[in-house]
Amino acid sequence: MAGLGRFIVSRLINMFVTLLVAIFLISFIFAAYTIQQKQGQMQEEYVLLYRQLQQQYRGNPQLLEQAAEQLKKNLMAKYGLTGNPVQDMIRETINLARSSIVFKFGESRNVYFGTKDIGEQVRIALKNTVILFTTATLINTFIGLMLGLYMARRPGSLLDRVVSTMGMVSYSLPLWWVGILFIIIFSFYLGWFPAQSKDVFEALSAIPQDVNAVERWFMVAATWLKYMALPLLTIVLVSFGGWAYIVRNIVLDTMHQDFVLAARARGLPERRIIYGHVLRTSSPPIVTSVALALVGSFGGAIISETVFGWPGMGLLYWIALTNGEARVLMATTFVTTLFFILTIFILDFLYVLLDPRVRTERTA
Amino acid sequence: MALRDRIAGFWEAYRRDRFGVIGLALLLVFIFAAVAYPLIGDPEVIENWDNYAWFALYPKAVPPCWASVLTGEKYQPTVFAPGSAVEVHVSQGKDPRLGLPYVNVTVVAPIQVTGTTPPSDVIIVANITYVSTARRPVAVDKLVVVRPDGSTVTIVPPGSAAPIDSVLGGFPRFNASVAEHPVKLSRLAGNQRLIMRYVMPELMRQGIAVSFGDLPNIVLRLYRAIFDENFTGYLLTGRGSGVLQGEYRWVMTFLAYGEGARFEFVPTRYVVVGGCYGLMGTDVYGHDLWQGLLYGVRWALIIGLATSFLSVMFGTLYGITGGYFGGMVDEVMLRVAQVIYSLPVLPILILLAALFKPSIWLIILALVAFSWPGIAFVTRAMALQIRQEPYVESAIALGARTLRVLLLYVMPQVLPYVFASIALSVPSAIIAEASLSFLGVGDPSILTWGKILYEAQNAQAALNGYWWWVVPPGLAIALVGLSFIFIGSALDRILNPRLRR
Repeated sequence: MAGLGRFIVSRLINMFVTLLVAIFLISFIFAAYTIQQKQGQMQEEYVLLYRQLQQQYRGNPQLLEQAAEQLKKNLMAKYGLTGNPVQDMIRETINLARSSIVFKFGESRNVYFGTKDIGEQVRIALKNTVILFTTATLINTFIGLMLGLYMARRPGSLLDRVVSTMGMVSYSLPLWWVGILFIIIFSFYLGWFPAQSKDVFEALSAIPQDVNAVERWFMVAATWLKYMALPLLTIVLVSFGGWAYIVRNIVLDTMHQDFVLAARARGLPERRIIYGHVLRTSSPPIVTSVALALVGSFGGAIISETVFGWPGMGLLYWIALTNGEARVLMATTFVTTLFFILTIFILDFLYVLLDPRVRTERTA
Repeated sequence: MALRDRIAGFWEAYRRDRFGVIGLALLLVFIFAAVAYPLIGDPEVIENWDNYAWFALYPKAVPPCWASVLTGEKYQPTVFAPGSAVEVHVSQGKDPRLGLPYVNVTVVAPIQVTGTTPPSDVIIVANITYVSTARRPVAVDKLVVVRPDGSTVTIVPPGSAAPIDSVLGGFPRFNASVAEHPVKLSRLAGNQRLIMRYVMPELMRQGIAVSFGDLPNIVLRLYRAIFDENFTGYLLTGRGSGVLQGEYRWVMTFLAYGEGARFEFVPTRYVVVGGCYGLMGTDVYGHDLWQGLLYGVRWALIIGLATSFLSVMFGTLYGITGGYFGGMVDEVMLRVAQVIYSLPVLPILILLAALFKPSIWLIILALVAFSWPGIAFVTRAMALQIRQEPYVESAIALGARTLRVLLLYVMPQVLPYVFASIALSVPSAIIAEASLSFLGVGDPSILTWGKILYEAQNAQAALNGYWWWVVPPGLAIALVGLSFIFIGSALDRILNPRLRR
């Protein structure tokens, strides 16, 4: 148990360090931006007021100089700048980091998702992203596992070669581009799915209230599914090949090991060998690889939301970018990063549960 | 000698790898396109990419001409011709009724209609100079389109002498000198004043029942009706019987009166704006997409190779340093790498790029800053092993300095892995940059495939079915990526037989 405890503690420390670095990095970037903005504004105001002073103290350069000095001081106090860029940066960064940790992001200029409160906007968006991304991940895991196992049992078969090549190809495809392609094919030419998912809320509110709970639940699920189908299809189709390929390679490696040979020699049924022995042993590296695959697909999925108009974090990004809402952008980046780091570390802990031989030595 | 043999041996093995050869061939094609762009492409198009006026004469959002194979539709091709394609006849004479000498300039533009849709516009770009010395304004004496079936659509009937300002809006009546002025047939056929003054009476004279209530419809339909088999039917109902194919002739006659009056009409360009364009069509701004696609190869290769080379090199040096030293140094270096590895690259890059609008080189550096740890982990593990090898130990025992050991004894051992990694990291770098450009936070001053896709997304290309705008750039990204993946996996198979995973 000592090994397990050490492992968990080391992972936890790692997670907190990563979180801290992420928070400070994002706050630092945003602080640099705000200070730059403030300095610009201050400079503008200074030039404006300085002209007034020139009028006021015409013919008295000494007084003018004093007044200008005073003006500069007043403006700096007004904008909260000290004139020392390092000190300003540190203070601003710490302020931003502090307010981010308690999720106080302030208000946006315009109304998005029916609210001006950035925290609320992010909450709604995050919920929708989780709905889409979790579903996609579950489907991917299932297909990847089944297909990977099948391929590992028949290496070199037609299916193996096709899916392996697909995995290779999908690695070089931008997920969001495939999304655009699918909108053209399935929405524009075939008309099977709605092209934009933004209307999902309208469709949800159109569901009649006077039906019983079970029926209503089905209708809500069907509506979600209808608007989710195209993004889901895209994410799954692009990534399942890669996942299957990862599973195949790991399982194939395990199958060449001695204990599998021993199990075969004992005359165990093939099913038991595969599911009881091979999969049990392969699962920790598979989980790690899944975590890494998540890393890869996450960014793509965020941008795909923009393409599909899925009302999640990706769309919020797009809105923030196109409308120049720096605060929304900062909040979205912050929460996405947080969410991402937490997901990766949850998978890391799963590793602990799956691998009985928990060691602290790192497998690079 | 040994090196040469090794290279020859490596090439022997590489040649036998089918995917590797395909990848290399593809890459050579891309390199050729990138290097030879000034010869095979038109750099002027790229320089003017953000200058919308430059693309004013191009057809907007039309598919490539070969698309007719897919859609079964026969597109009207776009013709960019020199001004000499337009005939200009000049004659002088004396008007007996007015007793004034005049200059008569007749412009005849042939229009070949071969598609199932009419040209969306016919444009004569001309330098127009005129002086009228009498008190009569310069006039348009005739403006007609002669159709292939011999019938004539009249916009200004012969002998009407309509003042030039009523036909070419914005031109002064008596003298002017305008260079590169586009005279557009669609504009002339949609000129409400001309239709009211000349076209409607002409139609009535021909016995077609039109009332002034039809005027708005006629203004909208006249241009399209000119090219319809059933001219009156289309004009009155908006439904025709298809495009009448053949050669049309657009005839305009100008008159300038007075002693020493001048009228010069010098066509510089003649454009029949069709329903398809070139190899890859155009977007809603009229951009020639083939040029953008071809030019994009350059930046894709630069971004991909620079990012992967720098990040793999840095990662390798970082990894072998940590692995070689071991102990506390290694522990700290590993932790730092793990932290960076756990950060999501794209969101942070988006924030950075959106707030500071960096140049492409800074974007490349930012990509490098986040993508090196993966390589560092592997090279570190390799260095941990290599450190134990007898030849390294003997080198240290002989007093070799650390830097020497690292670069001359450890580094060469990991190089095969490094080569494969450089090739394999190219696609993700290209995709990352394309993602930033797609969100509109890339370097706006360079034209990349991501930027083309960004413009497509902004114009809702997918919802309008402009596949020729969306499919080729993404396919190009995928193909460049694929060529590197093929090469990388071939290198991996040949150079690292032991490490095969």
